[in-house]
Amino acid sequence: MSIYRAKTKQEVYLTSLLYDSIDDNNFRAVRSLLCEKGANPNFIVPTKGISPFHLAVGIDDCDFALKVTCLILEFGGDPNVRSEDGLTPVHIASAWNRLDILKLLMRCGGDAELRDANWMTPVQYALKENLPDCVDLLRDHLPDKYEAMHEDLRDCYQFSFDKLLVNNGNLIGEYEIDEETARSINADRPLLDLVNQPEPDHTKLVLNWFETHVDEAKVDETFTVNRPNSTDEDFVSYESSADESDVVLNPKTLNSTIKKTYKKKRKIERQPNPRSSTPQTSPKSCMVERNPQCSSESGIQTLPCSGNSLSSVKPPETSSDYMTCSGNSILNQNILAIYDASKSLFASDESCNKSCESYEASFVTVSEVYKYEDEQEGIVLYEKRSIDIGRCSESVLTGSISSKMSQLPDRLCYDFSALRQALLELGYPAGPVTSTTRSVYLKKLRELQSRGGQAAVVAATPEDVERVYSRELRKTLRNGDWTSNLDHYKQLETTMMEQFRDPSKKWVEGRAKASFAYLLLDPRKTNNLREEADLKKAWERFLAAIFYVGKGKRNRPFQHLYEARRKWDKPNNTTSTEAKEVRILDIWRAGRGVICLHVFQNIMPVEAYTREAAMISALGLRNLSNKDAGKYYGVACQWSDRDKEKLGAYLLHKAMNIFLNECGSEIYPENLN
Amino acid sequence: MSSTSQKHRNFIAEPMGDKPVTDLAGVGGVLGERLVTAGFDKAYVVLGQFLVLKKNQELFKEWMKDTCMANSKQASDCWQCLNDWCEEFL
Repeated sequence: MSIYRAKTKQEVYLTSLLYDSIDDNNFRAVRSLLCEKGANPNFIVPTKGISPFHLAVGIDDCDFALKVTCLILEFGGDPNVRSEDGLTPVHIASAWNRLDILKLLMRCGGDAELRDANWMTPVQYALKENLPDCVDLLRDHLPDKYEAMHEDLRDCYQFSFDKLLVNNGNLIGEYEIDEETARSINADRPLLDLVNQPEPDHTKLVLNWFETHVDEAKVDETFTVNRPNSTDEDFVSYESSADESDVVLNPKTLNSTIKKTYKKKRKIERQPNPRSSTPQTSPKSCMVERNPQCSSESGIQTLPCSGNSLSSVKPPETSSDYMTCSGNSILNQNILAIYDASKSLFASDESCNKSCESYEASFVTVSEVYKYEDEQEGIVLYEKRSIDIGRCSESVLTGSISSKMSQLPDRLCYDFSALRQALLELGYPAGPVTSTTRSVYLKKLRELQSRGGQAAVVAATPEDVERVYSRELRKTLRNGDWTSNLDHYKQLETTMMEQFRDPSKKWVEGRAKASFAYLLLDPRKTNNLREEADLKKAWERFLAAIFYVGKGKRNRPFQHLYEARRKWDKPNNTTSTEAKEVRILDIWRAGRGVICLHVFQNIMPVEAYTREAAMISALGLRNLSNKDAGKYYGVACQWSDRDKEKLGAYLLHKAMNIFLNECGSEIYPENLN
Repeated sequence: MSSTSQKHRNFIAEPMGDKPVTDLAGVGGVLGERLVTAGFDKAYVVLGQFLVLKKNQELFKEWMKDTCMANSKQASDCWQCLNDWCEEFL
């Protein structure tokens, strides 16, 4: 959205002047402002909600409008500038049937598909106003855009087969595409289109390879028979680097599993990017045909090995650097090379002789790595598809099915009630599972299961979770200088107090002014609150420290502490169920004491109840260890929640000031007798 | 805490009535269209989803991401918007 707003007073001034000049149909002034003063026609005029450009397009005098629009476009007018309602000049020109202007705008890059705040496009406005000429004009500009977008989509990523990984547990063979081969293959198939390529070809290829390996007898046949279906017909030459010189083993792990990492390089791929390959075809393809039997290229990389101290061991039968084979035999040769190599390695390592026998051909995993490359965004994605070899001999089809993306969660079989049950069992308070919520809950379930159900425990201890206070209290936290204007808050408090003074009214628990409200604070949170210079931070910390709000007479607050003390004395019986006792014991265990802050002394019980309730409303019951939300009396009952929260925020603010002036003495278990 | 957008303030200023889904903070043209495609054509339908997910921020955001590929900011804005609206009017 291109909404432009002026940043300096100068800009606002110039833009406003421009707006007024257009309004006055004063062409000379407009020209001088645009040409000489450099007024920006795209800025929104603050009081109007539109830019001078919008006004110019829509002004009554059509000739003047056209002239000014030309001028504005010449001096940096953006035909897609948004008004505060999301309207662009194109919208206005369409709705007002300004054909000439519309043509001009469209030629200067106007977008006929932008939507305004009402979700309307210029075309829709023209249709609504029944302006066929405008509609035609706008429609003329749509298909171009569609094609352009399509073009983008087609070009937006390159997809290529990157490498093939073969892992038998001890050895990892990695087969990569050789640049030259890839290019030459491309050259052979200049018009190859990514979209038309049946994707599972690689899979087939790999599976074929395994068929050949599993059943060595009919190697060559199977391979050639299956291959015509694939698009890889030009796989005339395979390059292989069956080089075992890079075998690495870690002598320190002799008696445990040996990890040998191995890298083979072989090219089985083509790069399906038609564009890059088209120009020079013949020379490269010739190269393939004439490819010498042995290439002297050395491009072997070693995969990172997990051991620290590595010694490189040369296996007995080291073959020549690179073997280049043509035709299908390479497939056999490669897989056999892995076996041979592993056997010889095992043989050379005495402690591993036994595991040698257990090592069987059936234990091999193959995965294909595909590469998606988006040059525009600079992103490269690697997709690894595992192929289930257990099934590969059955048929190519099942094989390619089993190579589906990654692991689909097996718990997709949960139905609605089973899913909810599973979540509840893990202690997660799941809501109704419906078709729209199912996938979300499935994810949650997977997450919970992977965490071993710990999440439920975490969620149950509110101290660590960030507290979300009531709306009014959050406002005060956002706005640091809310204390500068407390009149409204004071007014609320006065209204609340005054009603209790009427002697003719009777109140619950009598009129004796012996009550007060109190807060229990966690000293670990208030720590040196008095030295906190930033009032806003002090306010935050003060609120965070409150874990109980109460009302009482005499030494009522101490009752909580006595109860907790009783639990404290019997440490083996500390399974307290009350949240506030848990918290008190927790504070004591941390070597600190509870701070009991008495506020609003000598008030009537009902007033104390009301103040308590207001503070609970502001803090939010869920953030406290209180059980009840408290009760309002008198006028406050009828207040809106916002007013109640406001009063609560104000009372808490007063409480903080009291706290800052108090000594904040902590009460330890030994202080209670 | 960051301040809220004009769209957010507009939305929570009044009952939502029949407002389109694009009136929700964090939901613009693109997300709006995706939500409409998924059957969430009015703000109140999204509110229903929000309530069915028990106002849970995490779940709601996850749902937004799944349904209309919202990014984290958009999903949080939308959640905040509905949550504030509920505090006001529910």
